[in-house]
Amino acid sequence: MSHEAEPDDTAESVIVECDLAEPPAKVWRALTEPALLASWLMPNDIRPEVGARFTLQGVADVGSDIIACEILAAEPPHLLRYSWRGNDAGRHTPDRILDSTVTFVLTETANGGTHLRLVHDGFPVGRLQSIACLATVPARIADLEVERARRRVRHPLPVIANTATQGGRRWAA
Amino acid sequence: MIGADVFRALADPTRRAVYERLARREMSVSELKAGFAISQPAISQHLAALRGAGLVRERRQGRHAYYRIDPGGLAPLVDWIDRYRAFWPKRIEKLKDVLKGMDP
Repeated sequence: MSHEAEPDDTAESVIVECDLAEPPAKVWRALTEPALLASWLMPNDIRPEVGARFTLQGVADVGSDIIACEILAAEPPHLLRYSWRGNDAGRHTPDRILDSTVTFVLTETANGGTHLRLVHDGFPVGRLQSIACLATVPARIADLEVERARRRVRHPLPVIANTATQGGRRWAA
Repeated sequence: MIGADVFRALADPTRRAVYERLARREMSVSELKAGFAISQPAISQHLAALRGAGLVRERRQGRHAYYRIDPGGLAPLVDWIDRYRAFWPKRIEKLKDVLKGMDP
């Protein structure tokens, strides 16, 4: 059994874990057979082979009408990972701003059932969020300085030295 | 349709790079331009798009303008992730029902 390293369990991940009574082989079928997958997720044309592309006909509750996917990993009946590219209510959003990744890890439990771990992560938004956090403190200081400058218009303060830490996660193109 | 302007503004790689630089510190247009191989008018256009989407704020000081990001501007994108926080647990409940109804 060769599981890939699991995605980071960060604030930008959506993780659902549960124990199922059915064995991994059966759960695998529900994840990878189009008719079964359609009955709990969305209408689709999934083919669980690495590199295979398929679409999920979206639903209103995630705000996308079509989700374009590509199988990134398929190791029956233990690991299924695909890319998940939403659109914004039917409008094309270029440059992958809505791209993410969905991973299912199935582990057999002692009683023959399945422990299912679902991870939805890799949101570019998450990376932007960490970048945005860099600005939080200086922004507050800057607000104060702006307020002070307003009070003494004749002698405005010099441009505020910025103390933001360099670094943070780089944007992965 | 959620935060349409925010999506549009951040869909452009150069604008994202501008956003990233302004997250590190407040800058004037000319400081900002130093890091890019594009013209000042082009930079100004990107800034206008980012400001229009509520992602960047302008501070005027005399004849000079300085720009920095507004972290709150990302809220529509954060909401987008939050939809999935509600979505997946519901779907997994459905999966449980489907499994119960499947042939052995």
